[in-house]
Amino acid sequence: METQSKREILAASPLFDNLLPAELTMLAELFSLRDYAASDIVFNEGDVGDSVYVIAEGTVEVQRKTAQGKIAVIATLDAPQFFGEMSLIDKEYRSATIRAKTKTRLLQLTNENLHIFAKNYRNGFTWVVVNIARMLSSRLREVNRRLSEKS
Amino acid sequence: MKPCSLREVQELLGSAAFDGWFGRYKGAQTAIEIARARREDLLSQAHMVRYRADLTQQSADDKLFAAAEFEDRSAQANAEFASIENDSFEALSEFEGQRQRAIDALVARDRFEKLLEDARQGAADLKARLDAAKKHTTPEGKAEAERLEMRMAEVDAQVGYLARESTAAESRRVREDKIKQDLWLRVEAAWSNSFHANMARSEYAFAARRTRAEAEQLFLRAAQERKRVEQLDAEALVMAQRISELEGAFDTLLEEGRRSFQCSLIREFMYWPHAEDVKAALTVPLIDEAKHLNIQVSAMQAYRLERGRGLDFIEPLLDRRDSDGGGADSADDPRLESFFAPMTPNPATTIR
Repeated sequence: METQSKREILAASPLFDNLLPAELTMLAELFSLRDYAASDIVFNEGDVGDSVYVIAEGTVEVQRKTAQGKIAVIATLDAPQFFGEMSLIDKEYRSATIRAKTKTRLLQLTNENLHIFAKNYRNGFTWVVVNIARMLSSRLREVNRRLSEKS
Repeated sequence: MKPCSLREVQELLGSAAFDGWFGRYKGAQTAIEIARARREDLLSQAHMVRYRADLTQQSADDKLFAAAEFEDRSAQANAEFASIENDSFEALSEFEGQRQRAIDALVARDRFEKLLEDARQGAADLKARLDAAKKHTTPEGKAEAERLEMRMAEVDAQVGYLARESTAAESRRVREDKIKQDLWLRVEAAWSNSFHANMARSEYAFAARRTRAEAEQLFLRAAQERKRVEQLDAEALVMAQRISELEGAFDTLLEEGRRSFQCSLIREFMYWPHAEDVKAALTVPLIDEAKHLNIQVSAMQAYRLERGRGLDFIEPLLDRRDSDGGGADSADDPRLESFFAPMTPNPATTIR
């Protein structure tokens, strides 16, 4: 996939809101293309996580094991959503399993490649972190809202 | 080899000398790839044809063995046919003898039945005469009646004897007829077996002829396939020599590249020490590579790498043309100002 095509996909992702064209160009070079067939596992819950993924094409399921050991689908994501960002921030193991629901094309950014971006574009990197923080914050607000509704 | 700046590398990439060399590099690489693919194809074909030739040979051997088995079966059926034919002639001869004996028994029974009928008729006549004589009271009449009674006793004995003989003759006829029927069944069975054996002989002989012909065809095909293997092996050998020549020419081209462009060039990447960073190097891939490096790289693009890590970790270079004029990382990035701008009070919670 050409850098330009990758850049267009990244520009549509909320992960890269507010980034400048040059920053997106470098990110496009740092992202690697990964293709998955339907039912392929992208990563498993408990794996060591070192990458964030942006969905270019297709749909993935976010799965977690229940206390009874069953697999529960907790979310379905499609382009241009992203996943895997939590392990980049907290350095913990993967909190869920990601399985391709359809034939899926993902863009993968490793922690090492993100470091290159950070070295070259401090402000751009800050905005990526801010975007992740905003997204996590939004999720936290949503959880709080649901908890307050329940109580 | 002297350290280079990015600008120098980019100038080099845009030069006619480099363009000409890169064209020859790509041509040589393509020629090697084509020759290798051709050799692999030839070797693969040779393996497959060799394997097929072995299978064909095995199949031909099996067919030949099967043809010999059919020939044996045909010979066995022929011997069986001759033996059954001989038995059938004997059975037929026996049947003919028995048929005559059955006819004789029938004739004998008919004779006894005729005699018995005549004797019974005589006895009936004599009985009538005796009854008439008994009605006469004269001495001559009485004498006649006594004489007739004596005669009657003789005739009754004769009838009894003939009745027994007739029954015995019928039993004999039935027995002889049964033996004749059994013999006929034996003859018919022999003929049926003989027919089956003869058909088996002919069919096995046909199967043997056909199978032997098939085996011969297969032997011929195996020989042709082995010849094809020899041709393919010879072509693969020629292609191996061609690859060796192409690789020699490719090595010469690489050496020319190293000398002309003052770089380190292994096979697919060119490297220069970075003029502005002693720990870094600049690299230019001569190929596109999407999967096996930490980033996707394109041919004829410059990248940065650490001297210590080499291709283990490549970094893209900043694209100055795409830059927003140097303000991206500046302290007065307007995006930061908007981020740190004070929040608008929430109308829902503001105390008026």
